[in-house]
Order: sequence, then C-alpha cells, then structure tokens
Amino acid sequence: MEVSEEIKQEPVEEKEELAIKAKDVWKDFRLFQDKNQSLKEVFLKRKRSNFETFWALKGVSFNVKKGVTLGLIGDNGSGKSTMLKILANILRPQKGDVEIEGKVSALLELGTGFHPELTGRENVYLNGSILGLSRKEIDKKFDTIVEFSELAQFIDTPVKNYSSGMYVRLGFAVSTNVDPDILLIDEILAVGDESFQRKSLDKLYQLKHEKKTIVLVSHALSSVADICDEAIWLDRGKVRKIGDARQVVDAYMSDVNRQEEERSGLDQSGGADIGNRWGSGEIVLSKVQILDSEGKERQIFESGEKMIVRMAYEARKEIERPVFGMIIHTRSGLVCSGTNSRIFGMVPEKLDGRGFVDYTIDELPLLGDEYVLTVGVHDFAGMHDFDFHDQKYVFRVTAMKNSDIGIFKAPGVWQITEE
Amino acid sequence: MISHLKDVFIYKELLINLAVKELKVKYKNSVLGFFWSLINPIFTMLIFTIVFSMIFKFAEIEYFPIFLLAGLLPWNFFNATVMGGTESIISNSSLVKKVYFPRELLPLSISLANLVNFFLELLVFLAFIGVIGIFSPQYLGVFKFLPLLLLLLPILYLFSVGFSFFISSINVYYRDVQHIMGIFMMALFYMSPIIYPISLIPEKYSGIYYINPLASIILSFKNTLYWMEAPQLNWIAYSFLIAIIFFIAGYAIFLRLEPDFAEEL
Ligand SMILES: Nc1ncnc2c1ncn2[C@@H]1O[C@H](COP(=O)(O)OP(=O)(O)O)[C@@H](O)[C@H]1O
Ligand SMILES: [Mg+2]
Repeated sequence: MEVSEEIKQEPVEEKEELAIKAKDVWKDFRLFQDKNQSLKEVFLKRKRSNFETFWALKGVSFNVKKGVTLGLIGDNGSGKSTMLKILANILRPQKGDVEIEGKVSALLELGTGFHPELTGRENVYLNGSILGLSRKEIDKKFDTIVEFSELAQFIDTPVKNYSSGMYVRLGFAVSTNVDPDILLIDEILAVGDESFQRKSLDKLYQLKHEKKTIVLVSHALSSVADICDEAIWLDRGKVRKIGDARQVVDAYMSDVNRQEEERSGLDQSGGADIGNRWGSGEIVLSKVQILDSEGKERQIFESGEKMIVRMAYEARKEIERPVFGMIIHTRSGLVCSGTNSRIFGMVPEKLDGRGFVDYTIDELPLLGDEYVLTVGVHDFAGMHDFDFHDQKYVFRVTAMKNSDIGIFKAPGVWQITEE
Repeated sequence: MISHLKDVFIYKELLINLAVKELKVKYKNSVLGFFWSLINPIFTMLIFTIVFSMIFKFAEIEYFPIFLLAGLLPWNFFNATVMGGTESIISNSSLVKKVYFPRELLPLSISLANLVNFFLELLVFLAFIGVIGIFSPQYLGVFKFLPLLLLLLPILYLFSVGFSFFISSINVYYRDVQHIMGIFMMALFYMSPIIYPISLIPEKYSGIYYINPLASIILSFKNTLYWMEAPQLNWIAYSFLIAIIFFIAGYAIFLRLEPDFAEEL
C-alpha cells in the first residue's frame, strides 16, 4: 500500500539561502556475489561477476535552507544513511545532483573517520585538517574538544584501544567543534551513555541556535520532533512526506503503529507461544486483554495514556480469597513494576463462576519501548498458583511527546531557587 | 585535473599531516624508530656487497657499496612509493568511508613520507662518501654533482607517483594486484641497473633494455652519484617525458575510479 503524499516545498526564490540542494538523487548498489574479486576471475570471465542492482534511493529531492535543522526518518533500510553519505560526498549518486554550500562536517554511522593506530590527540588534529582547519585553529579548539569528550586521560592513547562509547564521544566532540557550516549526523543519539546523549543533544541545540545547518538521522523520534524544524520521511528510497518536523513524525508514527498493529494482530491469532503458563487450574484466566480508554484491545500505547489489563476468569469450584496479580517486564525480563489485588486491599472472601478483573493504569508511566506482561491468580498466601501466565503478553509503548529517557517517567517539577 | 591539483593544494595541511602520520605509524612501535629507515638500506647494501663483490664478480667496480647505494636510493623511493601507495587506500579505509577529502592525498602522502626517507638515505650516502674521501679524495667530487638531483628528483617523483596512482586505484577493485606487485617489483629491480653496471648489457639488447623507463631514470642517478658525469640531455628529456606521461595517465585513471572507493572498500 503506497500512500504518497506530495507536499511540495515552497519554491525558494533566492538560491543563496540554500545550504543543501538535492535534486532527483538516485543511488544503486550493485550486489556482487563477491565484492573484491580477483584478477583471475576477470581474465576467465572477461567481466565482473553477475550482479543485481538494488536501488537504495529512487529520485530523492529536497532543499535545506541555511540555518535549518532537518530530520531524516524512516524504517531501517529506507536509505537515510545512504542519503547522508551522498551529502557528505562519500558516495556518488548514480543520477541526480547535490549542491552543498559551506563546510561540511559529518558524523556517520559508528563514529568519524579515525585512524586506529593514532592517538586521540593525533586524530583530533588529523580530523581537524581534513575539515580544513589549520594547526593553529585546532590548537585553539583542542581543549574544548577534549573537555567535551571527557577523554582527557585517554587523549594520548591510540584510539584502537577506545571503547565504542569513547570513540563516539571523541567523534562527536570533534565534528561539532570544528566550526562546520553544515553538520550531518547519523544515529548519534542512539549510542553512548545517557548522560552523553543529553550532552550531545544540548550541543545540537546550541549549534542550532548558532544557525548552523544540521541534517539529523535518528530513531529517537521524539527528539527529531523537538529539535528539527523540518523532516523528511524516507520510505524504501523515496520521499514519502516532507515538511514540518512534528507533522512528518506524527504521520510516520501513525503509519508505524498501524503496521505494527496489523502485524501483531496476526501474531496473536497464531497463538501466544511465548512465555510459560502453569498452575493447578481450579480457577483459570481464560482471556487476557490489554485495553485502551475506550475499551478497545490494543498493543501499542502512548506514554501517559490510560491502559487497562483485563483478566477474564473461570472458576471450576469455589475459590477462597483469590489474589490477582500482574507484572510488567522489559523485553529482557527486568521487572519494571508488579502489584496484586491483595496489596491494593481488594480480596473477595469467595469467588466462583465467571467474570473479569481489571487493573486500570490511569497514566501509563512507561517510556518508549517494548514490554511484556505477566498475569496470574494465586491463593491468599501466595503459596499456590492457580493459573500463572509468565511473560506472555507483549505490548509496545511509544513516547512521541516525551523526551525523557529510561523506562519510566518520574513525574516531577523543576524549580530554581536563587539565593 | 588542474582543478583537482588545486584541491590538493587547498588541503596541503592535511597532506602534511597524513605524511607525518605515515612516518609516525611506521616507526611508532619500534624501539629504533626512525633509524629503521636508515638501517634498511645499509643492510641491503651490506648483503649485496657481500654477494656481488665477494661471491659473484660482475666487473671490477671500485667501492661497490657506493655504486650500489647510488642505485638503491632512487629504487627505494620508487619501490616504497608504489608499494605503500598501493596499500594506502585500503589501509586508510576507516577514513575513506567516513570523511571526504581528495583521495589522492593518500598515495601522495606516502610519497612525501618516502621523500623524507630519501633525504635521510642520501645523508647516509654522503656520509659514506665523506669516509671514503679520506682514502680516495676524487670521490668527494660527487658533492659538486649534487645540484643535478634537483633535476632528477622531480622526474623520479612524477614517475613513481603516477605509477602509484594507477596501481593504488586498481588495487581497490582487484585486491590481488598487491600480490602481483611483489613479483613485478622484483622483476623490475633486476631489470634496472642497480646491482650491475650497464656495461654488462650486450649491445644488441640495449634497445629492449631501455623500454623499461625506470632503467634510464636510475641510470641517470648512477651517472650522477657514482660515475660523476652529467647525464646526457636527451636522456633527461626522454625520462622527463615518460614521467609526465605516467603521472598524467595514472592520475587520470585514479580520478576516474576515485568516487566509488568508499563503496568498494
Ligand atoms: N555498500 C552497500 N552495498 C550494498 N547495499 C547497501 C550498501 N549500503 C547500503 N545498502 C543497502 O541500501 C539500503 C539503504 O541502506 P541505508 O541507507 O543504510 O538505510 P537506513 O540508514 O535508512 O537504515 C539498505 O537496503 C542496504 O542494505
Ligand atoms: Mg542507517
């Protein structure tokens, strides 16, 4: 299903204003059976081995005005990194034109171009000179770069001994501090520890404030919506939507949600074969649903939304003081939160027949990620499980409107008191 | 091509940094560091001297070590520039895949680093001459011929770099070029007048012999640094022409292949 929304950018009168102009960019990758073949094969076959052409970009056009922050979003493999590499002049498009006004500094996937044998310090100088800085200019910025990267102790160690986090920190520090006119960043917000991510984001805001042109590829959609002025949604090598960042992110999000719902709907009908189930069965949870505020079953919730866990029970005989419980785990099994009806103070003396139990979460405090739900019913002492569904139900939380990091939102207010 | 050369000039700072990097990486992990570059030709010279002045005797050559060094100097430069250049794109793939800069800076930086080595080796050579001059003062005459290097060195440089451009760009696409080059360079070594005097080449083969452009270039170095005679002008002109052709052709091929390096690596 291809819904292509043609939202043309307003024609720009003055060309001088543009930092980036990409016109009808096509890029193909030839998928050779083996890439660097040997001369022997060349002589035997008289040509390079058979290849298939794969179009990673199919006619992408857009303009970026000076001082604008542009986000590139889209599924994995949609061509974001490829587009960025073309803008950085590292790949050559098959067809089409890219015009760049100004000095480009690029932070591509997994760090900048460092030479593994050289120390951090030497690499800073090497990279500085690649970006056209003189030795004196780098001297001036050197301390800032080192301070930002928090690598003062390791600056004279060869970068081959750096951890990937350190690598990224130095890469980010260099490429953002060399005074570029245009900054290209691929997925930097996804690596490094959280405090550094914060810092990077702050730095990006600062550069944005200084009217640098920034092109940002990121999966952190909430950050894209926040920091970017405009965004482009790439879909299998084509521009699906282009325009105001928040609108593009919203459109993309709802498409992702729709697709995931379609997909996970299918998964469910195939039977929940994840997790474990056990219990003596005097009372069983015959159906477990996760519902939204309208009582509709859903698998994707926005952070802060209302969510109801509903367990339908069937008791074969009269059960004394049953306790219903639920636990939310991360995908890796970490318990985020767990509670039961006894803790809440709701324990019926007796229960039999059918019915359902709801646990209503008014404002889901979880942040964007995938979670797994455990539900169960046991006796009052917790010694005997009647029916236990261990990590059987998957749901996803999106945090489009929330830039907090981690797994849950710690609600609070900020205040500064000056003395 | 001219505009590309201008680019190289704009990036001169980077070029120098890359050359310095080359020297650093090369000598960083060795205790003797920089002196390896000197020890290497000295030992080569020793071995050849032992083999060719004591075991096989081509001809009566006075001070064989000097004779040999006069040929080894340009050969080492050529060899290291071509072999180093061939690897340079691949061994710097972490840079090529991540940042833009004119890719020709990589083989060029190798050639600059080797130029530094050349001058160091030249110093060793001159020191030798100085010592020998104590016994045979006529050898001190070499110093008078040194300015001729200003003519010969650019020829050697253009030729070597042109060749290195060609091979290094091809090597990105066909990796076994690197192995073939090892054999090729060995053949070229024996096909050039380095360890033997040119008088050993029978007259009737000399036409074929000089098809190898390196032979005439190295011969000019030998004539200058050992025989102390000014090379003939037509030889120089011929060598210069060849060097220019190699440089332009090699560079043109390099520039054609360069935009797809990142993809092929
Ligand atoms: N060097 C390459 N050779 C072959 N295919 C590639 C190469 N680089 C990327 N691709 C393909 O091009 C498509 C787009 O990749 P990419 O731009 O990395 O996507 P994204 O960054 O949006 O996840 C993918 O299908 C990927 O497999
Ligand atoms: Mg990518």
